[in-house]
Amino acid sequence: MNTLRENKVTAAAFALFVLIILVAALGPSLLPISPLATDAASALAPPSAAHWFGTDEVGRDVMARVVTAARLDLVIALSAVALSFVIGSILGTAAGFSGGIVDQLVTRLVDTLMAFPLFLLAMAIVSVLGNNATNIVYATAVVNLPFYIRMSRAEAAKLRSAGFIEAARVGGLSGARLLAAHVYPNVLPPLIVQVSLNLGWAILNAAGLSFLGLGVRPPTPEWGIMVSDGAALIVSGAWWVSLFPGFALMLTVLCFNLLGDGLRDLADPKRRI
Amino acid sequence: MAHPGHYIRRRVLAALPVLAGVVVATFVLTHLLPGDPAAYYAGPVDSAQAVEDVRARMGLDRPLPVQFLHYIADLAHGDLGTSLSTGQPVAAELARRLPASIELMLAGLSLSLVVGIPLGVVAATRPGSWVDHLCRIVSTAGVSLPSFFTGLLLIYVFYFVAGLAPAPVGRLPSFMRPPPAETGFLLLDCALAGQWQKLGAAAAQMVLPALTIAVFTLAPLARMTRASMLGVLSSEYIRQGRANGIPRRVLLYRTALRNALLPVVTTLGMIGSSLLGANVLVEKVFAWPGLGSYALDAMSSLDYAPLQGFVLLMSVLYVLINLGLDLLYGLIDKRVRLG
Amino acid sequence: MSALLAVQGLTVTFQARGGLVKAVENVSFDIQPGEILGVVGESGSGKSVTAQALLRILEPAGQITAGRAMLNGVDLLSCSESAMRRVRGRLVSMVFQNPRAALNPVVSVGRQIEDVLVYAGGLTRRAARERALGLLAAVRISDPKRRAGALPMELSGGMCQRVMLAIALAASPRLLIADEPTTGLDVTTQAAVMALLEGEIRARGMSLLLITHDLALAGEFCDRIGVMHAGHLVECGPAVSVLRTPLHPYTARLVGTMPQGKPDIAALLPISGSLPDLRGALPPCRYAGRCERHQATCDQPPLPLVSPALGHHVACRWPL
Repeated sequence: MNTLRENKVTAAAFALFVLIILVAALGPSLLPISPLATDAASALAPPSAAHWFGTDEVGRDVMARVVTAARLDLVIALSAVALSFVIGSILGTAAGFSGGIVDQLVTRLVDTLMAFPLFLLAMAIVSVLGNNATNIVYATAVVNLPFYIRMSRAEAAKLRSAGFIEAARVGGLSGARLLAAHVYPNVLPPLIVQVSLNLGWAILNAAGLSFLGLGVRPPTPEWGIMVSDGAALIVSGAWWVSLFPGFALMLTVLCFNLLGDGLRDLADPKRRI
Repeated sequence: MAHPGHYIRRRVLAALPVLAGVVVATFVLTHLLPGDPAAYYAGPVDSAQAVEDVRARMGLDRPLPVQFLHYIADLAHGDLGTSLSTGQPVAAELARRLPASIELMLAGLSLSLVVGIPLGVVAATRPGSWVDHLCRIVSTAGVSLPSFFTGLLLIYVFYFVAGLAPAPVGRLPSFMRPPPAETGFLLLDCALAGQWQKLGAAAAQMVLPALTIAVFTLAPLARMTRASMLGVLSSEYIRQGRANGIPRRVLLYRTALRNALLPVVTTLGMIGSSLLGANVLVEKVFAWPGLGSYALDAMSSLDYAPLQGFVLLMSVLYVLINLGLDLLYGLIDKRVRLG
Repeated sequence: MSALLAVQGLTVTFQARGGLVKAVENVSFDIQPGEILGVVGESGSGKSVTAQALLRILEPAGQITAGRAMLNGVDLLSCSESAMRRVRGRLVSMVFQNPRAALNPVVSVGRQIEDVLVYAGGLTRRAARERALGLLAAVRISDPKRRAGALPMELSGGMCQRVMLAIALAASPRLLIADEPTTGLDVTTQAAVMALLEGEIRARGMSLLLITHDLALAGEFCDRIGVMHAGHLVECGPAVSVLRTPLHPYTARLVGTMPQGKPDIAALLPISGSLPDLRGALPPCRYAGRCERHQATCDQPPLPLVSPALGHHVACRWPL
C-alpha cells in the first residue's frame, strides 16, 4: 500500500539525515586534506583518485571544502530556525490567546513582514547589517518569524475555549503563568512537526544569500559561496567546483523535506487509518 | 447579492495600507538599522570631516521625522535618489530594467502554469499512475533544488555538454544589437521591428533562465493542484453532478477544477514571493540585465539608493500581484464577495 | 402491469482494507409505475449502496458483481456508460442527504439548475434560464428570480433540498431515488419537504424509491416497504402489512424500536447485537447471529430469497 512505500521513503530520509549529521560533525576531523590548503599546481583538476571531487581554481580540494561547509550551513540554518521558533512561538501564543492589543500589534508586525518578498527582505537586512554569517542568521530568522507566529497564533486561539484552560483559570492561574504552564506547551507540538520542513527552507535561504556574496567571507567554505565561486567556471567545463556543493545542498534540503513530510504525515491523525 | 464592484473596491482599499506600510518599512530598514549610510556613500575617504560633509549633503544629519518627510516628498515626485556608482537617477534605471525582469518572470511562470496545473489535475484523476508518481517526484525535487543550482546545472548540461543552448550572456547574444526599444519587452520589440532572426535569438536566450524559474515554481503549483483536486473530486457535489447526468468532462473541467483552483490561486501568492526573491539569483546566474542584477551591483558597490529603490519597487510589485490574485479569487469564488 | 424497474439478484462488493466486502447480496425487487417504495434498515445495511449501484455512481472501490436492473428494456447495471448518461437525470434522478453539500459552493443555485438543463438536457442557455425560474417556483421557493442568484450558503437546508428536487424533477424522470432526503433537516422542514415530494410524485405519476432509516416516515408515505439487513433484502411487502404484521424477526424488532404508539420509553426494545462484519465468509442468513428464533437449519444454504413479485415476502426459514 501507499503508506508502506511512504514509510520506506521516510526511513531512507532519516538514514540520510543521520549520515549528513555525522558528516557535518565528524567529517572535518576525518579529512585527509585540509579545506584551506591551496596547491596551485593541481588547480582546476577534475575528480580523480587523489581528489574525489576535484580541485578548485586555487587547488583546494573540493570534497574537503564540501564536507567542512556542511557544519557551517547546518549551524546557520539551525540557529536561524531556533531563533525564529522561540521568538515566533512566544509572540504568536501571546497574540492568539490574549487577543486585543497584543494580537493587533503582532498581526501588524506579521503583515508588514509578509508584505515584502521574503528573500529580498533578508537580502536588504544583511546588506544593511553587514556581510557576515551571524547577520545571515538574524536576517533568515526575521523573515522566518511569520511562519511560526501565524501557526502558534492559530493554535493558541483554538485553546482559548479549551476545557482544561477554563479549569486552570478557575483554579487561580492567569496571565503569563497560565500561558507558560498550559497554553504554550500545547501550542508547540504542531510547530515542532514543521521544523524539519522549515530547516530545508532555511538552508536554501542562507545558501541563496551566500551565493549573492552576502554573508560568509572567503576562504571560509560554505556551500552557497562555493557554488558562486565555481559559477563562472561552468561555461568552460569545470563543473565539479560548483555542482558538488550544489548537490550537497540539494541532497540536504531534500532529506529535510522528505523527513518533514513523513513526520507531518505520521502526526496527522486523518492519515492514520 | 454578490456585487463585483464592491469587492474590487474593497480589495483595492485594503491594499493601500499595505503599500503605506511598505513605504514606511523600507525607510525604517535603511535608516534605523545599524550601519552608516554616510560612510558607505562617502566611500574610501581620508578624513572624518569628508564623511560628515557627505552626511550633511545627504540630509542624514537632520532629525529622523524630517528625513522621513523628505523621503515621502521625493517619492511623491517619483524621485528615488541617484546611484552613486553610475550617477544616474535610480527611478529611471529601474524603469529601464523592469521589462527585462518581468518578461523573464512571465516566461518562467507561464511555462510552469502550462505544465504544472494539468500535471496536478491528471495526477489527481489517475491516482497511482505514472503521472501521479511523476507529479509527486517533481513536487518534492522542485522545492529541494536551489534555483541558482538548477540554473547552473542547466547551463552545464544544455550549453556546455549538449551545445543546444546559447551562452548565458543575457538577453541577446553578444554580437547582436537590441531592436528599437518601444516597449522594453524584447520579444515584442523584435516582432514590432520585424527582426525575426533577432526574435529567435532572444527567445533562445530566454529558454534556460525561464526553465530555471519554471522548475521551482512548478513544484508547489503541481503539488497544490493535485492535493486540491483530490479533495474536490471526492466531494458530494461532484457525486450529485454525476447523478444529475452531467458529462464527466464538464464535471471535471468546469465544476471540479473551478473549486480546486481556489487554493492554487492562494498558493500563487506564495509563489509570487519566492519568484520575486529568486529573480535576483537567476539574473546573476544568467547575466540577465534586469532589476536583480541592478540590485546586486548596488550591493557590491555599497550604493544605497538603488538598493532602497529596488526593495521598494519589488515590494510594490508584490502588493500588486497579491491584489491581482485577490481579484482573481473573487472572480472564481463568489462567496468572498459577500460581506 | 409490468414493473417500471425490475431489479434481480443485485450484488455489490467493495475492496476494503481488511478484504472483500459483500455490501449488497442477491437483492431483488420491482418498482411499479406510480409507486412509492421505501427501503429501510440500519446504517450500513446496504440501502445507499443499492441506490448508487442503480445509477452506477458507486465509489471506485465498489464493483457490481452480479444482477440486472431492467428499466425500459435496458439493463442499468451492464449497459454502456453513454447509455447510462442518457438515463441519469432524465429517466432516473437521485437526491441525497445533506443538500447543501450536494451543491457547488461557489456558483449560484440558479446557475447550477441551468447547467443541468444545458449539459444533461441539451437546452440553450436562455431556455434553461427561464426553465430554471419555473422550476424554482414549482418547488415553492418564494421570489425565485432573486433566489436564483443566491449561493448555496445563503439558503437554508430546506431551501437547498427544494433546489435539489427542482433539479431532479427538471427532466421529468420516471423514477426518483431519494437517499435520506430529510434526515439532515429539522422536523417542520422535513414535513414540508416530504409533502412537496409526495405531491410532485403523485401529480406526475412518477415512482419514488425512498431510502430511509426512519420507519415512521416510510410508513407514512410509502406504498410498499422493503427491509434490508447487512446487505440482504429480508422482507418486502405492502407498507401497512410490513409494519403491522412483520414476517421477519428483524423487521419485528425494528418496529419495536419505533417510538410512535408506545406507552413509555421502557417499551422501546433495542435490537441486540450489531451488524456482522461483512468481510470474509458469512452464513447464509446474516441476521442469524442476532436472531432469537435461530435454528440449526438456518445455517444451511440456501436462504430463501425475497421474491420481487407483488405481495408480502420474507427471506427467512422461520418467519413470524
